[in-house]
Amino acid sequence: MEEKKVKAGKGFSSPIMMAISLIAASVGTGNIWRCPRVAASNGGAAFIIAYIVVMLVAVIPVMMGEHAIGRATRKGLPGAFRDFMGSKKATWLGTFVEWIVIITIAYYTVVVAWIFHYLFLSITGGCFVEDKQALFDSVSNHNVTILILYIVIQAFCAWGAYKGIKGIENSAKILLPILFFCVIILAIRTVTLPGASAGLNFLFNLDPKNLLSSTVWLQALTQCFWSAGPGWGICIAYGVYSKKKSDVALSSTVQGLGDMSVALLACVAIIPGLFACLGEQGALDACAAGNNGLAFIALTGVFEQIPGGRAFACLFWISLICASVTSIIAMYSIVVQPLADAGMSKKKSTLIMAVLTIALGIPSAWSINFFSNQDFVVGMGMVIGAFFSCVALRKYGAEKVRTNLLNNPYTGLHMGKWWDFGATIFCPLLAAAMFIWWCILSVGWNPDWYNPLGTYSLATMVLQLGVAGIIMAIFNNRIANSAGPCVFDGKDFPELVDNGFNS
Amino acid sequence: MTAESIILMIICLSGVWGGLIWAMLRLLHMQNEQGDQD
Repeated sequence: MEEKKVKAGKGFSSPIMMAISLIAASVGTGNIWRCPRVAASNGGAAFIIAYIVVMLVAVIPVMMGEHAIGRATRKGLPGAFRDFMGSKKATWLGTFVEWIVIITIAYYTVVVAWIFHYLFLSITGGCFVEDKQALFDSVSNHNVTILILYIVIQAFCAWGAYKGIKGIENSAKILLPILFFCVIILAIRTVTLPGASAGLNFLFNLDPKNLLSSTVWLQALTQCFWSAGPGWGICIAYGVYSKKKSDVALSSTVQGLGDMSVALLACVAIIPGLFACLGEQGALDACAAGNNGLAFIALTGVFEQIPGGRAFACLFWISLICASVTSIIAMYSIVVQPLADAGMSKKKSTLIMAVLTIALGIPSAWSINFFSNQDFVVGMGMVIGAFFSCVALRKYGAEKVRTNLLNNPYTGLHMGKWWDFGATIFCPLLAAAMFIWWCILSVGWNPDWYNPLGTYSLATMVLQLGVAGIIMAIFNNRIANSAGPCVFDGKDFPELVDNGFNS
Repeated sequence: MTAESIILMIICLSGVWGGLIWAMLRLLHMQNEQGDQD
């Protein structure tokens, strides 16, 4: 590809700040309410062991590869796939992931609006009502306050991304310590409740038979994919802003371990509280009630029962706000990059993306059925995104990625040959298995699986992702031509490139 | 809590948190080394 002169840009202020920003981007609500729920429902300790193994062997290696893709190409997702795979035809893979991230911002911000509303209700005591399901239904359906909150939060996160590297670093610097503080205080409170030890015992009791269960391993994999961030482009986007000499392997390791640390801490903060207040059966029923059922109904009940519950409820909602806002700012910084690559100004690219995502998310803010549909479809889209990253790494050559890009003279963590297997064979196989497994499950639990308008139907997922893929393929060449000149020589990382967000 | 559960909890939490702290310190060390060379 033709090489032209490009302007040099600034990167993250230090490797440590980049690692902290990566943790802040990865840690989301999935760590705090999904991981404890899934762990308790899938064998406790067996799930935790599977989660740690899958993260170390398959997911962190792919995140290292994605980080290397971003740093090597210095481009947003479409251009990154184009330049790394050395073919214009590959651009649509990046555009597809970009679309998934746009949809994620649109519906995920609705959750933050609910959380903000529940924070206000916790301060006033308004969430401690008898019929908590009715309260949640009224919040999540046809609620004008939620709609306004949703637009305000979207605007705030778009502004954070508009600030570029500074916005990313400042949000991580401020919100991540608050998140850790809140979760640690919650953990101390819940484990000291009478009866909490039963929860810890349940969580860390290992039945070796569960380690042979495919469901436990697939659930662990799902948690890794949906929480840590392979497949939604964050490692590629932040790799774009990492300095030539900062450490790829260590940064991704910190990201993966940081994500897991918060998830395990959340398990310790939530499960003992559920056992102490609801008993074993009540706790398991709460975990089976889904993310919304656990957070907005069961845990509200727990906070109602414990002394000083209002304050702890506030800490819980604040921790969720910190986790989700940093993730949304990160997602915004992913989606604005391709527009900046196409030569648009910082202001224009942020504004276009903010208007687009706000418009796409309004139906989710208005109706929980639409929200649930988007949640279901995006989950599968992220798995496909992770698969695409593995394909890109494989196309470039696993050994070449490891020797040329990861094991460079500036690294403090050398990868052995096992990395080739983990990132380019094991992870794509797991992603494919997970995709097929979720498709089979969705047919099993939903007799209406062939209805393309069904909330959780297989047909809606195939239709939405299929149409998106076809549109990306149709506009492939136009998007490929707009992604700017290639700066990757195929061997070494180029210096930082200014795309407007890192001036 | 049973002894096995306590041991497993300590192994899992200290393993992940210990790993995170080790990786952060290693990154900090590399950062300082890089700074010295620059």
